[in-house]
This record gives sequence, C-alpha cells and structure tokens, in this order.
Amino acid sequence: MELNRLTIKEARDGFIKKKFSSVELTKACLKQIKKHNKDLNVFITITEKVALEQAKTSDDLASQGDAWEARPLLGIPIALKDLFSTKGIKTTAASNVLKDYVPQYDATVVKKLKDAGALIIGKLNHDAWGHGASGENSDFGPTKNPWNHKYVPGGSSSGSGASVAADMCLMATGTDTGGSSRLPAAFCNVVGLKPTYGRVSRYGIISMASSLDSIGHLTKTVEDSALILNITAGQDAYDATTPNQKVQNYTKNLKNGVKDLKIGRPKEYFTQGLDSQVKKLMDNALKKYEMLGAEIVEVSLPHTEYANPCYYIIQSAEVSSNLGRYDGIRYGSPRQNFGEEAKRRIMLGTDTLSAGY
Amino acid sequence: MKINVAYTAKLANLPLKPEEKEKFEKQISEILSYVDKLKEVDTKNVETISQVIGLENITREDVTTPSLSQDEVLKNAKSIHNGFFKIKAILQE
Repeated sequence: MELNRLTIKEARDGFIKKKFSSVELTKACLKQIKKHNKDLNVFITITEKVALEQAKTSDDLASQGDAWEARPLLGIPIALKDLFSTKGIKTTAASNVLKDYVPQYDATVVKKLKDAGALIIGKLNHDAWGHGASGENSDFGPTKNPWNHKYVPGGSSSGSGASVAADMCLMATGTDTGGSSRLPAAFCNVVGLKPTYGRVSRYGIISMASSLDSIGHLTKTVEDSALILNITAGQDAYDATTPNQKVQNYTKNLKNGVKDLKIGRPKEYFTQGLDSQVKKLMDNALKKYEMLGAEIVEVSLPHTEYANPCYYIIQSAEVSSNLGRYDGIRYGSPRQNFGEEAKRRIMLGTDTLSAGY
Repeated sequence: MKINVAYTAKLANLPLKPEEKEKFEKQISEILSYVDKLKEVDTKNVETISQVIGLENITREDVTTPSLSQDEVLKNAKSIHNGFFKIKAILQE
C-alpha cells in the first residue's frame, strides 16, 4: 500500500517499528499532490523543499528512541487551510487581497503542531475568507471533490476535505463558523471536528466571525482526530476567549465507542424540506448508533428556523468588522480586490451595524 | 427593506462599481426581508448574550514582552519611508 494512504496512528507505528521513514512518507504525499492537484485544485501553495528538509530532520530525531513522547506527530505530513498564518509562507485567505501576503509569525495552532513534530506540506484552497459552504468561492478557482470531479467537496475548508480524502496528507486543519469543517468532511467522507468555541486558540488564524469561529481539523479516522485535538486544545495567552480549562486526553475513552451515550434527534431537522434519500441515510446512521449501544433521544429545538436568519446578521456584522483591517496599507492589496461574496457580506454587515445611527 | 448602498459602501470603505451597487442593493434587500422573520420571536423575557464562554476582564500585566520587529511589521507594506508606513496625504495645506 502506498504510504500516503496511512492514518496518523499507522504512520507513527510504522516509524517506531522502522518500517519506513518520514522522507518516504512525505515523498508519497508529494507524489499524490503532483498527480492530482491540477485537476482538483486542492493546494494554493506546496512547500515541497521545506517539507522534505523537515522530514529528513524528523528521521534524524526519530533515531533517538523516545522521540514520539515529546513529539507525538514527529514526521507526519499535514496541510493547513490558507487562513492559518505561517511564518515565511504565503497565506492568502484564498483571496486576491492577500495573494502576496507573507505572515511574520505562526498562528498558535501552527506553532503547536510544529512543536509536536508535524511537517507542513502546503496551504490549502478554500472559500475566500471562509465565506462559503461548497468550495466554489475561492478567488483561485474552485476545488473539486476527489470522489467525483463533477461534485463539490463542501466548504469552506474545501481543500482540507479534498486533501485528506485524496490521501495528499494525513491531516488538514480547518475552521468552522457555520459548518466549514464538518461540511467538507461529510462531502468528502472523512472525519471532521468542530471543537467547542474557545477550546482551541484562534490567534493567528484570519478571523471571520470572532464570536463564532472554531478551529478544527479533518482526519481519516476518529482516533486521529482525538490525537490532533490533544495537541491543538488549550488556553492561549494570545486568545482571551480560551478558558483556563484542563485539556483531557481525548483518546482515553475511544475504546468505549458510543456505548451508553445519548444522541439527540431534533424533530425540527426532519421536516418536509429534507430530501428523502438523505432522511433514509440519517435514519440508518441512527439505527447503527443504537446497535452500537447509544440511546437515541427525540428532542425539540423549537427555534431551529430562526438560526439561519440570526447567523446572517451576526456573522456578516462580525465579518464586516474583521475585514475592515484589510486597508491595503500595512498589508494586502486595495479593497476593490475583494471577491463578490466578501463584498456582499461586508455590505450586509456594515448595514446591520449602522442600523439605528 | 431598502438599504442606502452608496452610504453603506462609504462606511465600509468599499469602492463599488455602479453595477455592483445595483446588484448589492437588490440582493441585500432580499436578505433583509428574509431575516425579518426574526420579528416573530418574542424575546421580552430572554436574557441578552453576546458570548457563551462566560469569561470577563481577561487581562495581563502591563509589561513589554517580545513582539514583532519594526522590519517584520513593515515587510508586507507596499509603500514605506524611513521605517514608517507611507500613505496618501489626509490633511491638506
């Protein structure tokens, strides 16, 4: 089997047993990227040289027996959504406004992943500024779904979903404000996690809606997802919205599966607008969870129909404020270079915030 | 509900072409009509929230700590002069 098809856990086990090296694994990922990136438009930037250098360094460190104690992701090639600031590596927010922007610092999550030994293989395409649910809103062209090029990969973390599904990397970071890590995970058949707001630091990640943004990740397995959260979670002095709450070991209870967990089935989610094929799949999934030992509980979320209008107002207001910093003076190009979706949200948000004045 | 596109674009410092102004006026009016449905909800006895974390007054000691160098800060600017960002004149003689 090609090494790029491994999970993080399998790769680590393979490294420890000296079955293959990080350089070999990284080369396998790069080969896959070169083979499919033109068709799928997954990566905006591929950091081949740096990745291979880091892979070599990882292999040197790996020769010291307990290397993985201190660095649980040593030698693992990962990719980052292009909203994540990477020192010295172009970070574009998939927008023409930042197409030449090179951050002078790493986001906290990037630093944590690097300190854990992960190597960055590239920056991923996405809906510009996080504005979208399909991957069609990038200023650098849409990303395609690796399973079928005629389908969208979901968004806004479209490149994240596609890269993990296509085995171009072993993990991809994402952001999630209204589904942007979960949607591409679902559309690309990989595992996506949106952590609770405040669990993971937002520092250095280009903001969309500061009271809603959550920093997540996409992986091939649930176990891998838990491994990553162990690293990214935690209070950060640079993000005042991260509480001082202990980070558990998220892998500890994986073996219990869903046994004795309660899963809510909101009745408002199963109304007449729901596609019958989707309903069937949802009900099958719930039956499967029941078989595995979970209890399905009917619940009511009576304000469901008001969630979307609320989101439109709150999210666009915060977007208009957060995008105000892109003045073309300290960084970036002039504001007329924003894409249509960004302009629309800025206008809607500005209008909302000025209401009453 | 109509919006004043020219006014909003000025507030947002967003230069728009006439076609864009026309398009956004229409689209945003439609969105505002859609969100009007929120008026159905009685929030008389509902507590306002603006955050869910419950944190307040997160501060740090007022001491200088390592930060970006002047060079790093200026790195991405299109126009600099003597270690400053250079912009168009605001105040006229």
